[in-house]
Amino acid sequence: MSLLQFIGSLIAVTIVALIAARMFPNSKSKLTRDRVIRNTARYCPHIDLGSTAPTIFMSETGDTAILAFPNRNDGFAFTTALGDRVVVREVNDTSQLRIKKIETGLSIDMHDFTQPTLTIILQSKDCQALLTALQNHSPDQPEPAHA
Amino acid sequence: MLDLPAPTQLAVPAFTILILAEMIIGWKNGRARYEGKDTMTSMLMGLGSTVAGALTATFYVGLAYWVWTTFQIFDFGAAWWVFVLAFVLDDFAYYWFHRLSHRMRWMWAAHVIHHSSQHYNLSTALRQTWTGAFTPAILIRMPIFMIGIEPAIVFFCAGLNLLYQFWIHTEAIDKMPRWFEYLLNTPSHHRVHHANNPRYLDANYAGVFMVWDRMFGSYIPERKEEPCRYGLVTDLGTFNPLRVAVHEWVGIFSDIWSAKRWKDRALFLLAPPGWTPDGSRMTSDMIRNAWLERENAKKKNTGRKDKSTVAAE
Repeated sequence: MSLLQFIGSLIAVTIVALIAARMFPNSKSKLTRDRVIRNTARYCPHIDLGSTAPTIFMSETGDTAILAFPNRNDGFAFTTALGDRVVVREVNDTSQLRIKKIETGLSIDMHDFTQPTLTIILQSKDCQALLTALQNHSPDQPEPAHA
Repeated sequence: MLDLPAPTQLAVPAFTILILAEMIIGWKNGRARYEGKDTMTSMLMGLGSTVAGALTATFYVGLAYWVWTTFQIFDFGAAWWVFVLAFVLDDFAYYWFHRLSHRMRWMWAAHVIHHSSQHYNLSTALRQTWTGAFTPAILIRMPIFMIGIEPAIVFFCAGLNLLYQFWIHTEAIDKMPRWFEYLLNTPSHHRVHHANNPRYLDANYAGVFMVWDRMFGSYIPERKEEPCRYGLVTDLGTFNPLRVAVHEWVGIFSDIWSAKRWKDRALFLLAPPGWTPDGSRMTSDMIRNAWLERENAKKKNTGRKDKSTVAAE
């Protein structure tokens, strides 16, 4: 493959992706409570989400949410909108989190190569409640292996 | 050395046109769905895979010709029937390569890229690995060279095989005629292969001929009542092509680094994805078994409820 072919291919890729983005806009990209619960149930089928509405900290940007499992010892589900799809990570007592308080909310690093740092924008009251919940859920031991 | 064309390279313009055609069909009738960043990632992975393939081609072709000239049992020549034989044998080898790519983490590290999109459309077909050269995949085709088929013929047939597999990455086609579904790989069969529903995990590895899956017990039909959901059992939270390309390798190295026994280090490479010494993560077999248990428990509960309802009535 020559450099010219490579550059040509790169331009073609960009054009096709732009056409895709134009023809299929992400109208469903925002998270809703229902969407968070549905996807958490799908990714964490072993967790009983119970019949009562679970606590969900929803980012004001609508692209991140943290669901606290009804039994706090079970942990949390971190939900992010990725394009028009949803990605969930289960955070349990072996997960290592690095939580940083930022001006508008929290920045959370999950030590996960496939999940970049998650930023959740919250009102200060909710932010404090989430921070307390996450800190109370401190890991017993560091996760020894890749998630 | 026979000078044969590379079918996949010649087909690149057709791939682009067909992707655009599928987008228009999907936009009109909703039977195909695209997402800009996902499409960008898939196509960049395809481009990267072509570059990686070009960089390692000399080594691979050299090795294949060395094996062929050194160990060949027969001299088949280049008659038309040798191409037919090579196509069938290569498809058989592809089945086992593909099955191993799902059942051995070392090979999964390269193949996982192809399954990392939550979408299923023609651009997903182009989402290919950059790191296939770092796996033992080439060894699977060696017996074909050793029986005496010239590597150029095998590589040409492998190209045709990949070409065939392009069109089956679509939701725009529901089912093909029954005889076709029985004999050949189709969009329906391959949707099951890309699905992460526990029922569908690790099934339908065929390239072209579906007979291999039927023979070796890995065939699962698509069920209308359970639509396929696409992606990995733990989906990637990024579109970054570099992270997509190497994430499983990073995981393997991290696991091997922290393993305490040599046996565990070896198994982190050779055991199925999700294997851990302490069972703290789940393999696809464990996921399917857990799902079956939940389904059986649900059925039992429903049965009990039905009985109690009848009793109450």
